[in-house]
Amino acid sequence: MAASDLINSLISGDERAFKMVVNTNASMIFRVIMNFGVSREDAEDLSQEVFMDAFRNIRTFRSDAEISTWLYRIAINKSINFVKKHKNSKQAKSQLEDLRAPDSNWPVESMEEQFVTREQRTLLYNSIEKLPENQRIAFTLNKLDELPYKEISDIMKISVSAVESLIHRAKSNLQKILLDFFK
Amino acid sequence: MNCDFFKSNLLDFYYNECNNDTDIKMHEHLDGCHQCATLYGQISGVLGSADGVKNETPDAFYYTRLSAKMTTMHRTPAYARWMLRIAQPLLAACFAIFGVFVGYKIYDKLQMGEPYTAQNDAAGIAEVQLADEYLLKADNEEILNTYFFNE
Repeated sequence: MAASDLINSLISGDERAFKMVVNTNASMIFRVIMNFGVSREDAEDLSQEVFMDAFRNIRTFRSDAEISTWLYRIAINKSINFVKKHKNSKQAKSQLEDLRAPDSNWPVESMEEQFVTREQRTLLYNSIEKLPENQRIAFTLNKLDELPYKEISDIMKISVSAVESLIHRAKSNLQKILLDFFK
Repeated sequence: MNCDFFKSNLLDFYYNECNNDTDIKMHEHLDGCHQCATLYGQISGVLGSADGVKNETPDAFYYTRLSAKMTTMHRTPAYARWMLRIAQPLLAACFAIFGVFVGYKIYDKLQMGEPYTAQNDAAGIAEVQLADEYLLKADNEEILNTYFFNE
């Protein structure tokens, strides 16, 4: 189905089209949100909100962009707002601690390894959170979600060279943060 | 290559973004320096810890729950959702205003008159002064009448 046909189907309320968009993008949106340090449960709720918002505002979608790019943008905004909102609350902190923990499906062999992975992940997300917002977004999308520079530039509405520069600075800052930690 | 150079290229090395020459030197340094090898092990462990998220997927009932939420969203019209959002703070504000009004009325009843204000106080003082002047005048007239006019 062509992108414009898909949009028209969504506008007309075609459930099959909606299901197709969800099935294609749900895992990707879910992982993007999780990579901003959001817990699994919250990531599920937030990703559902992403689809609901997208569906609600489908008429404002410009068909020159990819629908996945648009969904990414909504997901990033929601994740950043969520992390900001819950940054200082005890509840969020405990959720972060709890849900960054690896679950039984992850390829870790023992409880000790799970504990170490959990600690490492907490350190990684805490270090990434210290980066300026644009650097954090670019770094997360490129290094954790493995998106190419072009797609990141579309999502962030900046040039590819600006994305490269942001990632370079993010790497340099993150390296400094991690070296300070292990000093 | 010294340790400082190794540390300054750590993340590029982890993400395979060093040029060939640097990459070879980094490998050589890593083999020869136990301290840097330990540091690299720790940092690569942290950077690689997010790899588990790549295997994460939403649970089996994800679409069912989303579909249910969408149905609820469609059942509630947009204006009703906005009304619901506005109604709560509006109701709280109404209760607050009503509380202030009732409090003022109770205070007024307890005071049995107008509540104290600087204006009321000044008016009260003026009234007392006027009464004093009147009594003084009345006393003087009585003295004059009694002692000088023998009335």
